[in-house]
Amino acid sequence: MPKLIDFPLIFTNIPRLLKALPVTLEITFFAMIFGLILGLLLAVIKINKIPVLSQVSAVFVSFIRGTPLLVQLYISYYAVPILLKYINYYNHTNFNVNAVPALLFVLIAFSLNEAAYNSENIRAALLSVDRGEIEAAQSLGMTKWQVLKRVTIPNATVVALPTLGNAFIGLMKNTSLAFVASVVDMTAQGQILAGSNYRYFEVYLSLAIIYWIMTIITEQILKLLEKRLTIFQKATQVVAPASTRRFWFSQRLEAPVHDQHSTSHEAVQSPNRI
Amino acid sequence: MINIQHLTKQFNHQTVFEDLNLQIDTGEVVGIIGPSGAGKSTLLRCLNLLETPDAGSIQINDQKFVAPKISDRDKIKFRQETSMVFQQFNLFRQKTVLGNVTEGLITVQKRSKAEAETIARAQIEAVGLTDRIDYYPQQLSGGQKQRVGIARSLAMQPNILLLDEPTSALDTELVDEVLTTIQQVVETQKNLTVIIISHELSFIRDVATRIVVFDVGGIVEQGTPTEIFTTPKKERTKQFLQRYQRQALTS
Ligand SMILES: Nc1ncnc2c1ncn2[C@@H]1O[C@H](COP(=O)(O)OP(=O)(O)OP(=O)(O)O)[C@@H](O)[C@H]1O
Ligand SMILES: [Mg+2]
Repeated sequence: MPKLIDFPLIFTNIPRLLKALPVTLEITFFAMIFGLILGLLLAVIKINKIPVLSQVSAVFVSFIRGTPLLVQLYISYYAVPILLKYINYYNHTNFNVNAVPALLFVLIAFSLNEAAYNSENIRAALLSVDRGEIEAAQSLGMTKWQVLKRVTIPNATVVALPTLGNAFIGLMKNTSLAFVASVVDMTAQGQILAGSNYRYFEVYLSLAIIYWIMTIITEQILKLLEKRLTIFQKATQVVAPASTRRFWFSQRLEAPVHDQHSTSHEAVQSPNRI
Repeated sequence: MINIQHLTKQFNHQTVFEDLNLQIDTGEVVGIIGPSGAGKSTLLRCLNLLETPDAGSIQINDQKFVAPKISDRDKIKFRQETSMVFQQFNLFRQKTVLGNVTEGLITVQKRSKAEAETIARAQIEAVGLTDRIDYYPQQLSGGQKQRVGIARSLAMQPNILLLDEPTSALDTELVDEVLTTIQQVVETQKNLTVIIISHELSFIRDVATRIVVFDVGGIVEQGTPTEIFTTPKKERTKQFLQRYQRQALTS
């Protein structure tokens, strides 16, 4: 009888699977960035009740939330070629449908999906920003855009970070659906591997381990990021030196270092989350 | 110089004041007093265009607003004439004391970071908070927060300082430090026009050059502190002052 489970294979699979990690990360990061930008746009449209656009975006959000991601991926996979054929036909252009990378279909589907889900979170976070701070910025003479950039977004980020972080983790795992558009991400790579030795169970265990570790790492990064962004709430906390605090999402908060005693006689208020 | 003419402001068709006229010269210190809900804050917010008046005009030096419309660009120029100190401080919570004061200098006035910090440090020194310069608002007492608010406003070098009940959100023992700061500002900056709404009547009496009494509908009367506090002409002013004296005695 052959071995029921090939334990070493679970681990020797991992380096081979990791070859496709860049594809997984690429989809995750691009979809998140586009999802955030478009999500912010949708949120601003909804908050300002911009006619026509806000109705269109409401239908869009409802559609995305009301349909399975897998179905959205298939729609994107088939819609883009049809769209190109249309453009070719009416503009007499000659785009090659087959030359469009499969990754594009996947990116479009994931980005739109993220945008729809993020837009509601972003909207709630924007609305939670203290009116008084916004008025202070306005009365200093800031333009609408400056107020958004300097006050509203930084404050909303702190509020939205936990939910956006979860969305990011969810997206990272959902990228495993990319195989339906014949993109070779980690999961697809696993299927290819297993196709040659029929060790499906081992390969899916290897994949599970990788995704799990990636999630744990992401959670830790998010925790650090949250700590960094909420530094202003920690009244007497000693802050790590600047060199260990440099993140891709760095904000221009120069953090002071306090010892416990210097503020002990101060009326320090309890941290109030916005 | 401020010239308010025929100013009207409504909220949802409810008139707060109508056909309000008020002229204020450069360097005047105007105290606005009056009962709650009279529209004092609304008038002050109109001067900063945080509220848009429905009719009338406001001229502040070279900037003029004629109701009901103003372009975004003109609005920003208009706002730079004045600077507002808020009842609830409204500090930028994510920024340190220094960051709060440099924010407008860098973002709005486009000064370099170094230049902004020099100005800010001097201003923070003036309100006596140099040892708290790296603190976040959360780590400050109410009185300290309001002094930062004042420093933030003054750093912008406005022609007009607007203060809307700057001490009414403070515990009693913290009121004096803020009033002292305001008094120092008034004494040292003779060209600064100050408009202050306050229920600290004895302070207003000391510091103001003119008192404007407000009640629902608009201005009741105005005059020097002595005129208003010792020989008020209007019945509504008398009632208001009596009510206040009674409250002061019982508290
Ligand atoms: N944003 C708003 N929307 C609707 N009504 C408002 C708004 N702001 C103020 N009001 C109304 O306008 C009137 C004047 O309010 P305002 O805040 O100017 O009074 P005030 O004299 O500053 O009173 P207080 O001493 O209590 O601060 C009140 O009846 C108030 O309810
Ligand atoms: Mg008021």
